[in-house]
Amino acid sequence: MSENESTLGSLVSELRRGTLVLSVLSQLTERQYGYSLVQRLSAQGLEVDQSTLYPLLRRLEKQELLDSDWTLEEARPRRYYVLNQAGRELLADLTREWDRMVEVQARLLGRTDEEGKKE
Amino acid sequence: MELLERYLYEIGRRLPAKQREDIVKELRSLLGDALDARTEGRDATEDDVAAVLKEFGSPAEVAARYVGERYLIGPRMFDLYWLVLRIAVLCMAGGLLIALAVELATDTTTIEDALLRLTGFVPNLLTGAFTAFGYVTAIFFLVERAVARKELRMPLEKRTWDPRTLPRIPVRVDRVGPAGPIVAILFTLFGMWLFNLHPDLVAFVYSLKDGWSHLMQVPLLTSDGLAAYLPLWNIGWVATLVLHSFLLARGRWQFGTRIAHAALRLFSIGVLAYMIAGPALISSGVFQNLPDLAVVRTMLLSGIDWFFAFLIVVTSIDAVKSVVLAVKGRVPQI
Repeated sequence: MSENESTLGSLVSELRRGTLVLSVLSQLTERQYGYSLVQRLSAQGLEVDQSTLYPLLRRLEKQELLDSDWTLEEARPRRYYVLNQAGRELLADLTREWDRMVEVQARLLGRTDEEGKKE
Repeated sequence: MELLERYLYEIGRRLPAKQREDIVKELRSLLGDALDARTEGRDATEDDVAAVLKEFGSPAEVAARYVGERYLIGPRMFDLYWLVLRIAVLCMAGGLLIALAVELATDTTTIEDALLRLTGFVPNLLTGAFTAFGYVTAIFFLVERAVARKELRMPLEKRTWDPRTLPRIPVRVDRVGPAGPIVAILFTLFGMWLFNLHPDLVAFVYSLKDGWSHLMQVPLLTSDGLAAYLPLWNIGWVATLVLHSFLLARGRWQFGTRIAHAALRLFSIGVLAYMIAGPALISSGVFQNLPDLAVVRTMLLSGIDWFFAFLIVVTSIDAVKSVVLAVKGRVPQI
């Protein structure tokens, strides 16, 4: 791999890391267990390393953005996660921030002018 | 499935005990799901398990992601830690060097003995350095644990600072480099160590015959004098340590430190005056049986008060200078 490519690789993964929380929160308006969340993200085009995602879920729960409970009725016991009130509020705020960022980047990259019209 | 359990065990033993059971239970469930997805209904072979685990990552990697980064001493405290560590190790080395010099000058009788002490110095120095390192690191670790936890919970925005509170660039006379305070701290620590723990080392050493083999050691200080003055000296030394630590941290003289310095000087003047009036400090036994040195003896015994008086003058000048500079610093520079 050339030096340029590896720089690109690390920058891209940094970008992905920055958006991961938003991606995960966005899919947790409904109850999900770890593996179902991986598949859901993957089905929509986001491949996430499982060993990154699962610790993240626990961290978000510790930050009191998610609730979790064990379900014993299925083939095996599963831990389900879902947004709580604080998580839903955070998701809304974070989404707004994201929209603003996209807008600013579009302008910076010369895709749109200041009024947001496509050039 | 034995492979899976071995894997989970290896992860588990790397996790904090409090969360271990819960995380392992969840991972067992999640890896089961991943395995099911791979086998699609047929029985899983060991190869299937191995493939799933390989994709998931090594136990050390997985555990590390759950635990997160942990610091003995975090980046926030590291600069301060490094500074204190260097001072502590330097002081320790300096103190040991001076102690060695004193030992060589007083206790050593033969060349062999001197060599023995010299070779013994290196391990001594290493032990001293590691002890200093250990204490400083342990203290900082405890502070890190206490402070870091609190600060982590505080939102970033609250840790604000006001650029207008930035101090002025100090005028030349107010600047304090690290060397001055470090030397002061080093000598103060040495003084504390010497007079508190080894006053016997403050002695006059002489040889009745030629050569190193008949050294005599006569204590220079009276125990009455030491008992009277040492507590006062200690107060002054501790104050000196505090003042110079401050100067080291701030890198400048300020109004408060100038005044504190002047106050400390006043205190020294008081102690010196007391040393002139109070019990004798120099032992009258010194040089008693050396008629050749009778003049020196008289000078030492009666002249010491004049020396203290001289010190009072010098100290007074320093105290006045400090006050003047303190007041000057307060007046806005036009």
